[in-house]
Amino acid sequence: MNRLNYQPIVSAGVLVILSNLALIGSLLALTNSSPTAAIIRDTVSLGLVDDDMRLDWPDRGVVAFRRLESKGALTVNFKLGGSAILGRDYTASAVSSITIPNGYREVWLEFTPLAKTITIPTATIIVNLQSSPAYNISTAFAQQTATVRLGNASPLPSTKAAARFLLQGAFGPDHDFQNVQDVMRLGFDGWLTDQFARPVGILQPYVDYVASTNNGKVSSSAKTVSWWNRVMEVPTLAPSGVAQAGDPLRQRVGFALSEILVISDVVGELRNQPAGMANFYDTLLKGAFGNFRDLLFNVTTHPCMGVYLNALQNQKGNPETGTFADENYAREIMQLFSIGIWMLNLDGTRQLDSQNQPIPSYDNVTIMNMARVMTGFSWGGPDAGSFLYAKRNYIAPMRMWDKYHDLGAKTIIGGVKLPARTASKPDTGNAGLADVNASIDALFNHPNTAPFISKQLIQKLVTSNPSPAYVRRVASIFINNGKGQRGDLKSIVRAILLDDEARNPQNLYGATFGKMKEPYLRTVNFVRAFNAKSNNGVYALQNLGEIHFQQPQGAPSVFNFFKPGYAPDGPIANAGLVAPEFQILNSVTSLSIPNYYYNIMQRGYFNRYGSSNPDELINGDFTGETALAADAPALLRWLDLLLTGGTLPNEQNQVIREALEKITAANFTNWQLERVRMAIYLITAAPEYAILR
Amino acid sequence: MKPNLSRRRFLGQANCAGISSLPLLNTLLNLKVTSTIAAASNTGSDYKGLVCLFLSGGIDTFNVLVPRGSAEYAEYARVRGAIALPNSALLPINPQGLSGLQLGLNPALTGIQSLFEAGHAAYVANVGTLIQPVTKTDYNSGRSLPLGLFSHSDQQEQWQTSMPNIHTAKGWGGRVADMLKSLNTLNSVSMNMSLTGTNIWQAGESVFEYTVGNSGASLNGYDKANTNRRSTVPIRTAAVDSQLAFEYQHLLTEAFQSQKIDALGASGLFTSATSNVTLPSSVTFPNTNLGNQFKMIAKIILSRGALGQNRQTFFVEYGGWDHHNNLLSSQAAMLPEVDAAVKAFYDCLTAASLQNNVTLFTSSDFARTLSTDGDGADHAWGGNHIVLGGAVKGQRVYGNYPSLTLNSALDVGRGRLIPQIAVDSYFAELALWFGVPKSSLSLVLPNIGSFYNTSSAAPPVGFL
Repeated sequence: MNRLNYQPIVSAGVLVILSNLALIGSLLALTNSSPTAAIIRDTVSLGLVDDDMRLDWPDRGVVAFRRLESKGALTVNFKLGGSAILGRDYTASAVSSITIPNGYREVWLEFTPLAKTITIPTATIIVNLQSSPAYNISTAFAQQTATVRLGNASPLPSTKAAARFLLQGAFGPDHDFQNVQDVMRLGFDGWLTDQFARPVGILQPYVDYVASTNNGKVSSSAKTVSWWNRVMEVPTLAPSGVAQAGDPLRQRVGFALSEILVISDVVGELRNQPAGMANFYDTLLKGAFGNFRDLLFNVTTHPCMGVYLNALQNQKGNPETGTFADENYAREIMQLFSIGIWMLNLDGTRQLDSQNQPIPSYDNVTIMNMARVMTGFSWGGPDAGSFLYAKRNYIAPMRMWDKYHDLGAKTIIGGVKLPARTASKPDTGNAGLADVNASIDALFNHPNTAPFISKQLIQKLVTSNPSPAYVRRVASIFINNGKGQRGDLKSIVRAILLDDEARNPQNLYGATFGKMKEPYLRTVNFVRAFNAKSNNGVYALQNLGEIHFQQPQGAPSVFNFFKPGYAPDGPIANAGLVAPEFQILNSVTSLSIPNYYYNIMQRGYFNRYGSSNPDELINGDFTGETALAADAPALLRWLDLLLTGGTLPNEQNQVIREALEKITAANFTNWQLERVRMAIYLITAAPEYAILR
Repeated sequence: MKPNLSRRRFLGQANCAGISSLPLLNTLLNLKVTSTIAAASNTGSDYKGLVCLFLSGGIDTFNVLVPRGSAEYAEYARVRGAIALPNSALLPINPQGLSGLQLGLNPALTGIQSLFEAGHAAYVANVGTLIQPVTKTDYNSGRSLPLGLFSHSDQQEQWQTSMPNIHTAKGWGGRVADMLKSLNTLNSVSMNMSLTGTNIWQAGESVFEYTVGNSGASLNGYDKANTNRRSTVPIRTAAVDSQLAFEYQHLLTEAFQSQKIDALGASGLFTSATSNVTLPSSVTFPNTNLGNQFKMIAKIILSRGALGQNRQTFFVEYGGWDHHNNLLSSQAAMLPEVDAAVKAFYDCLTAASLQNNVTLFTSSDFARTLSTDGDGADHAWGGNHIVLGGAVKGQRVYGNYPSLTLNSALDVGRGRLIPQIAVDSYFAELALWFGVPKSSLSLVLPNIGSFYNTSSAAPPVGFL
């Protein structure tokens, strides 16, 4: 069902009460007024800015009082009616008159719901503009009345609550609003349960399919295209594939994990291994709702990680030749993938010593011993051959060879002592794997891991600066999901998204809550918001990294596109807060990203460079919006809900509406389409589109 | 949602790229670095540009500057094993004032070899992060060591902050700009320009980096000069200006808004300034990413008049030097791009008669272990860096090129060498040349007192 029909947007033609005697008086007054008179009677109209209220959601209903001129203060009279009762069901910022100050063209009458249950399923607040000798009343759209709907409280989410939830836990509202309705129908918890049960939308099959059609050759962009197909919930990726339901929550969490457990193919040999890269990503997707311990092990033994951080063919040191075990993976698995460099409290804050200094989690000796653990891995799979001579297999987990593993006793993280081990005969790698497993266990059970990983997942999904209490609640679920299991990511994700700090609508009004939506994920919001697709069903949306400074599995280093502790200079850093995503917001991306949306709206297709094959061009569906464009306020209400979850402030709404109303049939042939282009561009240019609260 | 918005006082006032319009708090130091310090000691009529080429990942600089005398080479070859360069391939250089030790360059560095031999470039040997001079005994007892030695993120940070004792997001290039920005007639575009995005080096208290793409930036469909009634451009331009006039109380929203205001304000000036520049036709920049970045730097330097800038810093990061594997072949593939870009840059400056006004220096997380783990090397500490420009007293190697013998007095394990020149001294030399008064050095480099007496007449290192 198209959202444009889903909830009839209140338009003047439907809900206006036509009897308004003031109209006649004002018309008469207009004919009498002289253009040279010192005081010109201004013309006033009503506009519906936000007509969607619910008793248990603090978002206010808004009706605008507008006038053509802006000289002098003007007091406008109105009456409140409708089935909702003032003082019982809602409060109003004014009850019978409102003054438009000198210099302003618009003021807003705001209604705040009073939280309680009312008996009428949907009550209305009707604003009725009253005549006055001080002004005329506009006849345009017959806007003498405006009706705001006031919904009942419900255990199920409101439209805006559902949209916000999807912006955090998935990729925002879809054009048909089906996913918003799903959340409203199932509730947050029910939606999560449903998502947990979805089949895993893995990436590798599409990469393999492309290779199979091209003599085994496939470029790195195939994995990006596959990623897009999955986040867009394309049912079948290859002609031979079996259709399956989409899994947006898993895709969203998998992406977050890909920015914590980072590998990248921007440089080096992985550039030519899209199947292996996709397989690594699939490891994250499969593990996203599993146990963090398994995920850490599977990531550690993945050959692409082995290549990226050099655990692959890392040999034990040789004192005679002066060689040493490589320390790269040993260092990063601790610093980035599990415990971090400072000892943490359960709430994610740093522990301090008696001199108030942070306490390092480990020293270089620990790293060197951990490096000894990470020796002996080589290529896995059926053609593993030997440690030194094996067929390169970027898919199969690495194989351990005891002969090349440092079997000596070691003291690793947390003082855990690993005994000297005896090489297996024949060499199965079991001794080396015992060391690796013991080390993964030590990291998994380290007191830092729960807050370190929990906090980063909160930052990726909900807010850059979670309260320590929020981190503690999630970290506690990491330690024990209530059934005695540690590291259950399903429970962790549920705890993050259902926490009061994530859900409480009062946080929409705080000064610091929220995060900048990652530029790349904003494009997913956008592509889904307009149901963009190509004739051939493939999302050829590669090459967007340069615009957004971001692309799946394309980080410049293992430190991701941005670090969790990044704070932009100025008020955020001065307040001791962080805003990780701002690390890729700069004088280039501040303009290249709006330009990306501009180019889409002007050219009509979403592909970076277009395509010589018209079937590959990805086009959005703007027909409903174009049909609605004559009613600019209605168009804006819809796009605001679709793109920002209904968070556009009144002031932005006014700027955009006034811009739209300058585009008329008199000056533009395709004026409706031009309005749609302008509206979408300006909403995506507004900070509310980028900042998720 | 209806958060309160207030009108910005005047949109145009905030159009200062990289200059925050909001009150700033000095958190790091009570920096009383004002225009008066700089103005008192410098007329500002001369131009100076400082270019930081950051080779991130930890470049193996003991395979960049290599001993080639028979005894020293034999020791080098023995220690480095599979990652030793063949002696016959080394490009010989003849540093002045160096007795006994013969050195050569990585075979990829033909351009730098010619610049070195012509006296336009010098090396600084075994330079690295230090809080104060340390011995091996100090190291073993963990005394006075930089935070996070051998860790990429920590060491990258410290090579940009020059403050290895604390974590801070302010860099010494930023502090220099705080002090010297008054030498510019305009600060609409930040004097600290980055070709590769956000970095710490250029972040100061009042000056932040302005990020430049290889081809500049402008906002599509936005043009104040367009008055066509049948175009949506005037409507969009007015609406975007109105959007940017809102000031937000929400910190992230306001930071987002400020960044766009800065970017848009600067892009107009920057685009018009750089688009009118013609580079000397005698020089062709290599069509590589780094080549194009240095080409853009050259264009910006030639636009300094239109930008109103007498002082500029440039930051270029070139990553991928973390060669745990395939060290020889990877360096052979990557160093030529560096060599060609730097050579073209110097030649271009020479053609524009600006070679004495611009100094380039390299930085990196750390050097790599002298010992190998097969065909790569691990994270280490002190390394060798290049300084290049007409002002450099070139064809010299500053500091003592260290013994490469394992377990030497400088080796803290695996061939990780204790630096004998602190980054503070290295940077102090550059900062003094750039115009920071000697008496104010400690405001830029708070630890400089551990390595250099700022009342001394002698320079910190001597290369400028």
